[in-house]
Amino acid sequence: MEGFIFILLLIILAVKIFAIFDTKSVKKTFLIASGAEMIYLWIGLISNYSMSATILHLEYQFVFRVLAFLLLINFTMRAKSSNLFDLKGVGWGIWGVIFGFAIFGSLGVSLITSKQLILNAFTQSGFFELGYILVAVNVAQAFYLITLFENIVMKRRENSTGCIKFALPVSLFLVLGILVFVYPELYLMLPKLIYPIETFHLDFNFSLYGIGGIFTLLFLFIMLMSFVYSFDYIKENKLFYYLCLVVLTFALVEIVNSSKFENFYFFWEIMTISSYLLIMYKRDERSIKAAKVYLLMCIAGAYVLQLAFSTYFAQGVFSFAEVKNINLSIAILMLIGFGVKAGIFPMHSWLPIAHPEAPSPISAPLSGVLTKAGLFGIIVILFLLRLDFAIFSYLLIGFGLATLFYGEIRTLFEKDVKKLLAYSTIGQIGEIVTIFGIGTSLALSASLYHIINHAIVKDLLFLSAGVLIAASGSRNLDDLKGIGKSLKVASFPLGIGIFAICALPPFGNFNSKFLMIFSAIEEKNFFVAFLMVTASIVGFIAMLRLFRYIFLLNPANEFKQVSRSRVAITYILASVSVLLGIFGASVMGFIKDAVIYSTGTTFSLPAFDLSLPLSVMILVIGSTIVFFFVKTAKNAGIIAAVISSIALFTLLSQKDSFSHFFAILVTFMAILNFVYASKYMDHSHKPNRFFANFMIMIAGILGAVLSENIYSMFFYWEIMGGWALYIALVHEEDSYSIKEATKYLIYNYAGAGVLMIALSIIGRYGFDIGIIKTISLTNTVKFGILLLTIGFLAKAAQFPIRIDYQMHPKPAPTPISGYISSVMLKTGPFMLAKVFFLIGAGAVMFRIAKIDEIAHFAAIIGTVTIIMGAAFGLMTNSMKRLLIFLTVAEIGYIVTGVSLLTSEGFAGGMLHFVNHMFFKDLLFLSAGAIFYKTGVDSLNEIGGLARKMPITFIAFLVAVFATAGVPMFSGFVSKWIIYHALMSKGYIFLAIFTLLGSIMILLVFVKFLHSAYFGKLDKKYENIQEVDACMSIPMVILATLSVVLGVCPSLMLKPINLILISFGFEPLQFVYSLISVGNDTLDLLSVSFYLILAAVIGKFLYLFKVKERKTHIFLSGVRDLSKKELHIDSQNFYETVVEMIEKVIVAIKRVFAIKGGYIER
Amino acid sequence: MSADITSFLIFPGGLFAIALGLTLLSFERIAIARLQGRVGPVFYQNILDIIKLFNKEILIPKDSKEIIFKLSPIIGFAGMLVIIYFMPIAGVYEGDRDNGDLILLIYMMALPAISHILGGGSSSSPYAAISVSRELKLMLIYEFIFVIVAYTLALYVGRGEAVFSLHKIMDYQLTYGSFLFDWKLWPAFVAFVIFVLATLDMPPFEIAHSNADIMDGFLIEYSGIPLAIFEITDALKIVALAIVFQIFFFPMIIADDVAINLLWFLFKTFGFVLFFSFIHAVVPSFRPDQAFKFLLSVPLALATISLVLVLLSIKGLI
Repeated sequence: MEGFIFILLLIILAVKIFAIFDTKSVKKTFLIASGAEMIYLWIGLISNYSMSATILHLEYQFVFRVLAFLLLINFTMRAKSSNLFDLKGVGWGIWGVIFGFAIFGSLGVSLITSKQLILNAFTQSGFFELGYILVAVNVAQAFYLITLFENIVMKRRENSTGCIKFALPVSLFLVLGILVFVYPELYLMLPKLIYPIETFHLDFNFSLYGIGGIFTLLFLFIMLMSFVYSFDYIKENKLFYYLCLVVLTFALVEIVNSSKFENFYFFWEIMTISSYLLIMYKRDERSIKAAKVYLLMCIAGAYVLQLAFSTYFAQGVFSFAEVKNINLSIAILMLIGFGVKAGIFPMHSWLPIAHPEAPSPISAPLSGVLTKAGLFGIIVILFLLRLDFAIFSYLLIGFGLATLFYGEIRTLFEKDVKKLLAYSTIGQIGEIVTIFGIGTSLALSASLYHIINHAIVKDLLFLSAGVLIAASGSRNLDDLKGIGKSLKVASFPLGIGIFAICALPPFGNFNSKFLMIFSAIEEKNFFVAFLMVTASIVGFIAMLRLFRYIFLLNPANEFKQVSRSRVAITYILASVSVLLGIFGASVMGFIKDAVIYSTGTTFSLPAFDLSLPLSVMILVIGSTIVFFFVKTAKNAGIIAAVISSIALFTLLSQKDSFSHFFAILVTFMAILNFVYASKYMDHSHKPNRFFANFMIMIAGILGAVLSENIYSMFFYWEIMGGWALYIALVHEEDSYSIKEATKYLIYNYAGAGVLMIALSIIGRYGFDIGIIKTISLTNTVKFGILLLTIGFLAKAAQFPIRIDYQMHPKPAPTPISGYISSVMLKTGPFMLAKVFFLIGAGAVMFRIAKIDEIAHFAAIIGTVTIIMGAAFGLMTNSMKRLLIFLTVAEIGYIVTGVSLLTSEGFAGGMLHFVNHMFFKDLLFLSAGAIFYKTGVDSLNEIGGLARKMPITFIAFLVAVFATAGVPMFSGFVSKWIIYHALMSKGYIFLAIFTLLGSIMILLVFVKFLHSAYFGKLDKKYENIQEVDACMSIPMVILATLSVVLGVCPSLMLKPINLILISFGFEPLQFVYSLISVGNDTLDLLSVSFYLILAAVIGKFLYLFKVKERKTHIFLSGVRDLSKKELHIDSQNFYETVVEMIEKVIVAIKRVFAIKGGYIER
Repeated sequence: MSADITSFLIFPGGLFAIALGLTLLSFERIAIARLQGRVGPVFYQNILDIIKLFNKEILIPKDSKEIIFKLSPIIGFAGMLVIIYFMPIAGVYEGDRDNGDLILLIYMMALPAISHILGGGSSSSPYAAISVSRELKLMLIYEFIFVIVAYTLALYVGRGEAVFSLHKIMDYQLTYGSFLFDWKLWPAFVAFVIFVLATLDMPPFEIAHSNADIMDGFLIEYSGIPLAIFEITDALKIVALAIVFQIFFFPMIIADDVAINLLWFLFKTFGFVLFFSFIHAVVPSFRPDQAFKFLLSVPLALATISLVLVLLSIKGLI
């Protein structure tokens, strides 16, 4: 029996396939294809049930096919040809609608789906496998029928008017067709004679509770946005368009609210068809082709779903709620069916094809909503039906990850902006599906949150891209180049969308991504967590590329203005995304309630409480003021400085702690840098953008420092190193700065990814930072701490955690470089110290011993970085890069110090922390002053500036002395403590190498000093003047601080001791200026006293002078050398040393199979 | 004798150290002359030189950064004056208890070099620039050697717990015998000798202010009082190094009497200088790159050998 039916089905399949290829005689083929339906009668022989199903099927097919055929005759007459290609577009209009109705009716859209019944019959009789053939038959038939439909109705044709014949039979069959939906009992009369098939009426449910409620709200919101956006987008065929849109919206809402399979399936089909029509809205060849791919894939998926449902029908189960158990193979079938819609790889191919062709207000919901309907289906299988198979879980994870990587990697290379966004959607879907695979309620909540965020943001991206595409008339990125510069207002939301989709705060995606990683870690699925982070880095690179094209490159084309209402929509979406990010806790509460309502299991979500310290708020508000209302750099800088002062004031009024200590320094440095920058940036463009982002970055640092909650800390951490920084760094917008800033940001992002995993591991024990004090140090937690260490070291740009030793971008404006070096990179060691000392709080030995290895690792890395940074400093000839290298090296001291886990180490590290903050900023500011005046960065091209810029020079000299650790200047004391701490900890070799590093740093600075300030002044710099007060005052203040802290370190050691006590450690011993570490003491006041006394004696000797005279220098009688020739260039300064370092680098690189030595970029 | 302002100004720092140093410089000149078959100057020749320089006019190059040019000699001068005051002399002077620290010593010993660098650099002479570059290249290595030697001693004295106090290093040897006679520290001693040669710019390391090719290097533009200060700094540096040598390797005292110990100290100091004069007289000078390579290999290896030996002995293996 089974074999017989199998052959029958094969015959039907053959006929259907034949129909596809025969296009010459439409009528004839249609008749043959329809005739094949008669073969179904044989299937009726299986059982009574199948007989009645077949009869119903034939009734339906009869009604619809006759209707279609009548119209077909009409159309062929109108076109005077029966070749399919001559019928192009002949049916557009009301008759086309009827034809479409007939075609989709024949496809099996009906109230009591006869195909479903046939499948049920198969399953009931144990011929489930035959269902697959039937699915194939259906797909072939769908292919054929929609080819007819799109050719006849959708394609464009001129003058397609004409009256219709057989109006009477057409209307008769139309009525019959409508009755299928309105009064199906009519058709059931005959089948019921054989087997009692139950009647069925559509249910219209609407509920805002549970998971379905979330989807309902989301769908309604997104569709509303699409509606409003469409108002001035859609110019022709409005009726068709809006009708489809309404139907689509309705279907979507009903899908998530249906409980019965039939209901669900019906609306599922309606959704597919209405969206199919919408994709074809443009009615050109390409969009029709795209829509066809879309429909075929989705309808094939739907048929598979039907097959899956048939098993339940066979058991007498009619709704989701009644399902008791779910079979693995059925679940996989359903996964395929839903997966097509969701766009899971390898069933994703409709996405990149359909998205670009659909009008923008449709592409947006395609990504934002329709894929989510597929995901809803997967939620249903997994969570509502409580599928509990490990293998299914792995399957989801496997498919999810494949989808994720496929999507993100394709995004990386796509040039068509809509395709690019479609691929990005695939990637995001992959993420969500992967997390579904985790299978906990927490994972479900995380994915729901991500679904919401992604829907909003992807909608934003598509709509916003639509605006830009309308303005430029092209989807190609090359044509969209620089559009962000021309149409600032219109493209702004796209920028937000780009950073939001990368899961940067303050946008919702950040919360959901963190929650997703957290849920993976919760189940100890590190594999998923790491791969997700990796893939998101790829996605991030892709999105930065998009950002670069839109906002940073220079425009090549002219752009049209765009309508305001469309832009307004994108702004609404952008603000929703921000709200979703800031009110993460409330959104999560809402989701949690919904999940509990739907699944009935209670669980708890991590506390994502965002703290909003007053100082942060002030800076954020200030930055908006600066961004919107300030035009010149001078004003912007001064206003920023004033606002920072207010923030500083609010900080001062609060209690003392480690965090406040750092926060105060952060704001203090901010004020100085703003004042300096107000002058420095005066020739630059867009000062408001620069200062606003600078302020946001500082707000991020403050937030990260002041947060008492891990989530909140990380939130601000990402703000600090995220978009604000990027925009400030690419300020110059040339290719070099873009490249460097992008590189920097990607590393930052990778580091943050590691941190995200690490914080998730810690977060399992609670989200309060204080939890670290009591956390039990199991191996997993230790792993988390190791990851934290790596993440923080990456932030601090420590080699070799940072693959690229150029840790921060040289082409950025100097004030921000200085600030990054002196303050922002410090957040790394700051957090490192915080974590280490919280773990060891109260100096509990066994806890310290447990993380000692990690800390030792950090210390070694710190020391390697010192040597490495200093060595590269010797190699380079660029002012700024030299300072950057030395920053890394100096931070190495801090890291080494705090990693010792002793009081001395902490005190030394923290003292150096503060000292470095002052002197490194000072170095940058003085280098910036040179750059400001000369415009030259290479040390080879300047010289003899000391006489022209005395204040800058003296400031620089102080900073050099402080850095090199000349006694009486600040760096000496801190290094002294660090060396002692290292030795008393027993890290002898580290102690020796840190000292070597110190000497190397001195060498580097002498090179700088000599090349820039000493030697001969080139002719072109004859007219250089000293910088004015705005730039010199910050330098003078910093120089003074460097000296004061060098003489009286106790000023800073006092707060450091308070911090040590607050961690429960022994404070460092000091009496006034006498510091003692172990048995060794240092009295800086007396050292300074005697040094000054000796210097006074030396100066006193000059009183005996007889005469003073100016002369030429002695040149052995050579007189014809130019000043340039007499100057020793920086590159020639340390030939032998440089040669040696070069050899070492070559050797080390060879170990890693890389050729070449130091590369100056 | 404890430390106070008079010990800073008059004895053993201040005037005494300057007089001693200048005499030592003259003594060195005499010793070299005698080794080369010449008569040599009188033993107070360098003092006369200083007095002469004070009567000369000060020449300042036109392109120089004047204030740095004039003040930079003072940095080294001050550094040396202070470090001599801080360091103890066995049986004679106990130094500044609070600041007798190895790391401070290491940094202070670098100050003369910094003053050379600043002074030479600011003079705008290309010869000076070359000399600065040479001095720094050598300094990178010789300071490193000095650090390793110093740390080795610190570890040895503390038996694994680093002791940075100069007093403790000295007291340890007074109790257990001088390190000069401890075979484990002989490589370190040789390294130290090479360090002294390099830091004093003596042959075979007469590179930074070599007379032959760069005409006294960073000193080329100096005259009058600043040059005199440089000379005095050199004198102080020799004294300082002699004291460092005695603290590190040979603090042995022969009596409880201060006067006898002082004589013994002077004897050791003159012996120290005589030893270096001998090397000065017999060896030729390296080329800069040769010197760099030599420093990087031989003394560094020696210092490291001592460090390893000391570490092994701390672990009780030898």
